[in-house]
Amino acid sequence: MEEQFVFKVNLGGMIDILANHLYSTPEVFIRELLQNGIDAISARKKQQSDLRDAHLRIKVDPGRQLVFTDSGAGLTRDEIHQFLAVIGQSSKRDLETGRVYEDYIGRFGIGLLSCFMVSDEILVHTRSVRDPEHAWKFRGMPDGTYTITELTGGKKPEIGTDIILNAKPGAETYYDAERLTELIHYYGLPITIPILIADAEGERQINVDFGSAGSVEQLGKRIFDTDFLGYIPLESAKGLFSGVAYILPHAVSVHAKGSHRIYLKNLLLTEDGEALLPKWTGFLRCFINTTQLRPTASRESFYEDDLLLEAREELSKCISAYLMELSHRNPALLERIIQVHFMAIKSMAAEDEDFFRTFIPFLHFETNMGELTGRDLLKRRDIIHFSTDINQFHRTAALMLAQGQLLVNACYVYDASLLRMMQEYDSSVELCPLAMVSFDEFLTEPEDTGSASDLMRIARMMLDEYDCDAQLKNFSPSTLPVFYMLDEDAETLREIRHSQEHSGEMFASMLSSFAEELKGHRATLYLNWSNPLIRRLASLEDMEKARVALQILYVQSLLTGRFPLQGGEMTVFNDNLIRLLEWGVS
Amino acid sequence: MSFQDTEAGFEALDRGTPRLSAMRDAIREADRQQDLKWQFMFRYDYIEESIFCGDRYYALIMFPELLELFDSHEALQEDGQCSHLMLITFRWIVEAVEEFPQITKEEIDRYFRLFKRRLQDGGHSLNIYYMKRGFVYWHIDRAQAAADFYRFLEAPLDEISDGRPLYYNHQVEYYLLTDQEEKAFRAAEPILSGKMRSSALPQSTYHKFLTYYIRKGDYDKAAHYAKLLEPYAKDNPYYLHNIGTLMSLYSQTDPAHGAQLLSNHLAMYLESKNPWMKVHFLVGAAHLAEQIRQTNAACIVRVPDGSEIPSDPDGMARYFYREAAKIAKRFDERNGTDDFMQKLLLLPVASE
Repeated sequence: MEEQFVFKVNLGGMIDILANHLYSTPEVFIRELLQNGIDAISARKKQQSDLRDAHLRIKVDPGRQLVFTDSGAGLTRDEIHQFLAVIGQSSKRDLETGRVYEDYIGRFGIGLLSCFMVSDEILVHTRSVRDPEHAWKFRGMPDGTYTITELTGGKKPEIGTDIILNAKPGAETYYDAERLTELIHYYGLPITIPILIADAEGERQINVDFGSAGSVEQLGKRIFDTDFLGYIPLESAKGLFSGVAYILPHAVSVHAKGSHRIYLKNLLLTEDGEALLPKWTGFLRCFINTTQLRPTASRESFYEDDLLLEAREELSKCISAYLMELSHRNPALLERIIQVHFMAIKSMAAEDEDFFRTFIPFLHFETNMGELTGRDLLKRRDIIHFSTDINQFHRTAALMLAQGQLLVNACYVYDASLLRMMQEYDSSVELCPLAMVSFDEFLTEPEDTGSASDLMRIARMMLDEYDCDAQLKNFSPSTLPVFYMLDEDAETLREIRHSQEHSGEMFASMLSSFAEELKGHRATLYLNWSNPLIRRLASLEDMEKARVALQILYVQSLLTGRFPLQGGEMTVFNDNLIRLLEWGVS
Repeated sequence: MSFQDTEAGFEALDRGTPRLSAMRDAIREADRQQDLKWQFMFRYDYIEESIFCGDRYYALIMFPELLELFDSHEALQEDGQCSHLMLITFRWIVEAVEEFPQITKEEIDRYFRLFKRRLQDGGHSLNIYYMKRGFVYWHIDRAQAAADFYRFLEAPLDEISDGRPLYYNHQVEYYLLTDQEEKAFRAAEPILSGKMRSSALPQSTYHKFLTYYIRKGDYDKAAHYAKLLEPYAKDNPYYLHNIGTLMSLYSQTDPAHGAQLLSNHLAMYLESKNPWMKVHFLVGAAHLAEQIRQTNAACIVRVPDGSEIPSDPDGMARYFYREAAKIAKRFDERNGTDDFMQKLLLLPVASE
């Protein structure tokens, strides 16, 4: 027969785990107190819509005690049993349906336990709006035991809840008005319910005033300790968020992860913008308050769902719309922003067509004709060649320039995408990847090459062992005797050969099968018939000397193109130099 | 410029080809200067870039050099960082070899044996070995793949293993492949809820659920994961196979959007040297092209200039089927199964 048992839980141990391991720092107890207080006030407003003077008050006895008071709904005796004494049961959850009310912040019914990180007991005085005749005292201990006593005699407390914490050894620093103010500003900056703090110096309201002139800049400086270039208001049309994005005054890496302040229903959720912000926002520091997004259980990030995607998209639109508007309203500021954050601007342009149209004229590209702007490129009516291989760009830039051909270095982040978008934006832009260029078209056929036939025969024979063809052409600059070119597959084959020469048996078979597939892809060494050296070699009677010189030119072209040498090419180079020297001195 | 500066400079370059090209240059310079540590580190960087931002082909070409360099220099073997990175690289390679049907089953076995020996020699857990082998063998030998999965669950995680998020992700994969949806959801919970992330997650998990629901014909659920996956997958060669899966779904739900995805990724497909990624892309493209052909949907597919891909719906459907079948057969021949052809035939396709 199957028997059913129930797990036994060591409550003291559970509390220790929740209190000391769920949270990353003891100071989160203030976030949890704020959260409970705000939710209690929301609950009271549901029952008492004309509620005035709702507030949170913290009375501090420095280094010893704090009393956190909310003028919220308070708890009845039954509710104390249900909500303060059952871990995982939140008062914000409808007990029958299990539904969590959307205007409450907390969801998991474990927040109060964080107070055990700073106090050895949690004392609660509470009087419920639903049962104002009675007031109760709850005393919870970290070993999992608790007591409830009715508060009788004397004046009944106000409707609401007082949470009384006494500093446990080591946690005294949290019992200080200045420290608490700092923590409240960190965890609850956007809170609008009045928060009062009282100590020996008296009582004062500590909420940040968002309304006063110039406060947005001041707020940015205060939160992030930086003098920003400017700020972008963030307001969701769908009501998903509001806030400000501050523009950093210095360049940052395109992959930089900034530190932000992201609040959920007025309480800090995270400083990490990865889940919510588009990935190109490293140049911004954001202060955002969201309302409807779902937090993860640890309350350190957002649950990735459709709403989060919508919010991310709206944030992206807010930022790009502002910058676009700046192009009319304050072009000087915009130019400064582009100068400092061109990488981020390129990234946004690559993701958003409207943004692209506005900003492409201002963006810069490296080319073999110097730095050109998007505007310069859009004006051109000749083919825009581009390379995403930095070595190929450097190998061919000068040669292309000499033939009057434009070549863009599209290796930098986003440049290739932007070039492709340029073509979609303006169909008259003609783009051509360097890999598709046939150099035969640029290099003209020479006339009267009869005297070069022996040289070319020797060249072809000599180069065959290097999987390379030889061609005689005219090209500029005439000072360049030879030019080595190979397509991607031929270059890959060279890499495979290099790996075969520098590795053991284990992967030999794999490399051979890769090489086999690329067999037949060959490089080309172009000999320049306009070059005096090539002409002189062709006129030599001793073709052995021409062969030696050609081998030197071949290896030299590899070195110039920064190709890895293989198969003893460097030895051949050195041997041939020695032979030339010997011929010279003999 | 110091090698540290060279490495920092990679950041400014686009992922994939531009970085690989710059890294090749850096390797040559380190070789020329005979700077052993940087000879190793730049090769490692190169392999990592090819694995995570490329088609993994160049990683396979470079890895034998890295292994030889490591094995022939005691200084590298005694360097804790290099020994660690050597094994990390090896685990990427044993996973990647399955994606190339040019590499035989026997060779794959040999690489796994060597990987296992290296892990054991270093006193490491075999968790990652069973995980990778189980994954690779799913298409070759399901019984062995299942046995490996349970050994993977039992073996402890260590510093060579994938992190905990990928540990769960792998469970999701196995459970979905074996139609244990509920278990898959339980394993996926930390990832789907956002509690656990990594550079590959949650997108890899989204892809697994997307694939599963397409296979089950539940396009509504599949569409949910497609929406989450697409922002991660588009425009990245590493996710070319994901684009294929998305196109398979869109062939049934939104051919116009599928056509846009296809247009935007054809150049990437043509450049890819990874047959496994290509076949997945082609299968999705074949499903989509066939749907467009059959329904005369008003979808525009832009074909890259100079490519051999026909631009008319009939020709395109036949082309994608033919190319997909060609690669699928190579895989199936190597693996001794018909998995890849079955994948192609999961949704209607136009055969020749």
